[in-house]
Amino acid sequence: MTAVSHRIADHRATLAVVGRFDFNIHREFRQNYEDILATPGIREIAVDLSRVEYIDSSALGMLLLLREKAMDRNIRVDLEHAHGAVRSVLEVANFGRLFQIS
Amino acid sequence: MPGPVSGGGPRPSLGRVLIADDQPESVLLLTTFLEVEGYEVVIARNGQEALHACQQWSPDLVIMDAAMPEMDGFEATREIRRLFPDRWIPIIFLSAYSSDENRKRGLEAGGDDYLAKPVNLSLLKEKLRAMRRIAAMQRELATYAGRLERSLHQAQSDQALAHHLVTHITNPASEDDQTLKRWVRPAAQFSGDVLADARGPGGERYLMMADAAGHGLAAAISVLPLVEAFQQLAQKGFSVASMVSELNRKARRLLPRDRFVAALLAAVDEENHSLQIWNGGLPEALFLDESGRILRSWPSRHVPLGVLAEEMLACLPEAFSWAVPGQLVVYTDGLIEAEDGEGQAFGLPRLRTLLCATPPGERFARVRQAVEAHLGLATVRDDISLAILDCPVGKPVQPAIPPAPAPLPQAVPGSWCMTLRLEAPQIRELDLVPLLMGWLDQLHLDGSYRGAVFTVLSELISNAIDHGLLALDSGIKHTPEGFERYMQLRAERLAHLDAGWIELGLRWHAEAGQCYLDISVADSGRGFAYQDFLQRPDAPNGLPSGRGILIVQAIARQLRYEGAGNRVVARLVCGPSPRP
Repeated sequence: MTAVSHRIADHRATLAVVGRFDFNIHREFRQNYEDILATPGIREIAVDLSRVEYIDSSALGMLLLLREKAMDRNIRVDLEHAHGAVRSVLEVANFGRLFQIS
Repeated sequence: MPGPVSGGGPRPSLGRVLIADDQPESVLLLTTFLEVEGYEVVIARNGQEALHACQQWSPDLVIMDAAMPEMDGFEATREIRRLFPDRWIPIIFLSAYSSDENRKRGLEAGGDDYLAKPVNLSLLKEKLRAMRRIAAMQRELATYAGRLERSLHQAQSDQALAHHLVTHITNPASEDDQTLKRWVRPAAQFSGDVLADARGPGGERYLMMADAAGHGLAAAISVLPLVEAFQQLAQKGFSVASMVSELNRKARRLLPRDRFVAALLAAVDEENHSLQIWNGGLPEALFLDESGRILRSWPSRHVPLGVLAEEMLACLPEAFSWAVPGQLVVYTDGLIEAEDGEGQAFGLPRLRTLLCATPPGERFARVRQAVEAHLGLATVRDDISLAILDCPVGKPVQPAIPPAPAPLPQAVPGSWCMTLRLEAPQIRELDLVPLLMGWLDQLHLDGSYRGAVFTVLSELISNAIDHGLLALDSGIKHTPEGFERYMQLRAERLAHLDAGWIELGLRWHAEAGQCYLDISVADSGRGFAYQDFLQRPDAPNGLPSGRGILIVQAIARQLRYEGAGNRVVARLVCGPSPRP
């Protein structure tokens, strides 16, 4: 089951995706980051990928869009806990140039 | 018959009712009642007349007596249903025989309700209201269904057109090419994967494998503008670096922020056994020799096209030269991520093992079979592409001189000349050969001389830059590793070039019915001992690269070095002179 959720602590928001990260969750994903971006005082968004089983190119597109919107507000976006196949998809697209990946 | 109801003016009709009944008193009662209620009424005295009235008058509802002469109500109802299969006309049976058996017969014949005689008028009134409501819903439904069908039809014809365009733009003919084998299997009707190939003006081969984010029509249209641009840039002979920069600019300008195109671009010089590759977001490309050893791989080193601003993008390709025959293998992630029924991916290790263990002639077919067998009946989630290009050694390559971009009219008559002097900043940035080719195309250089002109321009300009300005020793190019080092050194020195100039001249003139193009290239370098070289072309004298000059000598009518050897003029025949 795929789900998107977020929590906010001080200046830092964590956006977590669980399950398949693909086009089917784009509405949910957007709703979550729009809520985060509407919260005053956020300086950093961490996208938690630890429970993502699969990531496709439209998910990469969603991450790019999030990054762009965040950059307009001087908020940085990090990708956290990418592992295995998810990590290699990010590496092939050289997303390390665009995000801090841990 | 009663007149209009007292009081109000003409009311809007509630609908048309056909009464089919042979008993005058029953007809009179019903007619009076219905007209007072606000219905329009028509009367039929048997089934035959009822059918006729349905055709002539198209009623909204029929009140049908079961027992009538000539044709009874049951048969008339069956006939009405048969005659109007697409239009629902509510039919209410009215009968003195109100047994369950009769009711059943009426409903089976196609009736919608059944009332007993003598008729209960207030019950009839409610039945009519209910029928009106159902009929209104039916009409609405029919309207929606019609609209849906029209838009489905529209969508299908739009898709057919889009499909035609997409396949024609992305796969222009050259499928029968035996040296390049290709397979694209889309996940949807349209593929977001594209393999485009094109020839440069000197016959060199360009390849682009592109994989747009997502799949289906959205992905296919994202990649189309890039295919067009790729083909134009290749025909003009642009370098891989210029291509990457231009395609990235185009993708960024045209695509929304969450769309991008992972792509691999390659320029392959079959004659000199060398290639240049830029990989932004595709899985690693491989070069295998005939025994199945992987001699080189090119993992993705760049962000896909359409993401980064121009100044952030590194466009320089990686160079490679092959000393033994081999194959270049390029594919998209759909191939290695192809899942079988159990969700198991095909995987890179399996692909590598299979490629290495298979003789070159069978690699393409074997990989394709293996992937298809792996997929079985599982749904394909992403577009799958594979291309394998033969890279031979020693075979005389016929540089297929491609046709000019468009059928060109005769050369513009009269003579002309131009001189272009460029300094370090422009030399660092510009792709000089396509710049001059663009100029010549504008003046309608005949397509059959384009290849020769391009080759001479390329050789002379690269000699001037590499040896004149960058002082590179072509001696190091003679081994495959040396070639890579040479190209790397060239890129480094060019990036740091801060002094020097190059002067390019084109002079077009006609003499004795023949058109000539004089190409002159001068540079600020020290020149070289051209006398020795031209007398003894086989002598290994280090500077400059011998092969380039020999090619130019073979093509040009005249080749003349001047000064210290830092100025050269080549004269080419470019067709009969046009009539003024």
